[in-house]
Amino acid sequence: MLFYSFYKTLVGKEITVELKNDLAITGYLQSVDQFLNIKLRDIRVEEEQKYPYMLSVKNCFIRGSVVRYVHLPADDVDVDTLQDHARLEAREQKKAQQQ
Amino acid sequence: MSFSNASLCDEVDKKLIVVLRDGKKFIGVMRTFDQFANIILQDTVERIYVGNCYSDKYLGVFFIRGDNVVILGEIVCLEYESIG
Repeated sequence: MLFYSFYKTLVGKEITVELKNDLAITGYLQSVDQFLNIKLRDIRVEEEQKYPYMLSVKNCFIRGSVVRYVHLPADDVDVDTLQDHARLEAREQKKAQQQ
Repeated sequence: MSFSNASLCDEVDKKLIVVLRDGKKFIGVMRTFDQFANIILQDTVERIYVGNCYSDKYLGVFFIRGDNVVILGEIVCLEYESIG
């Protein structure tokens, strides 16, 4: 749930998603779900000539399981809040394990 | 208020290009989906690309297992194929 919440803070921002098949797509994050499936709008493919079939696509849905990387704008990531939430999550998991 | 649920319900009855893990591209009208991104496409065509040129193979109604789906792209405008 942590990364789902994290992605929700990035909705509307421009990100680049690099897939496991090496396709890299830049677009505005429209929405994300619990499986970290990503919907992008107004997309631009990084190596357009290599992927002619993507020419007429402006909006897309990317299955979470095929994502390799997501390049994020550094200014849009609040590292401190992320660290706090990660620590909270780690603490919860530890408690759950001990019970 | 930002709405954030990447649902495929907005894509129903839209013409989509579905790219699979094996590199195949299918174009069709998406009729149903589920939480695994299993898809049913109507009037499916397999578009085989060689460089910038392509050829279509008509397949009819297709069920695609969500496992294999890489990307679903909404087709909004006509692309122009290169000649020669």
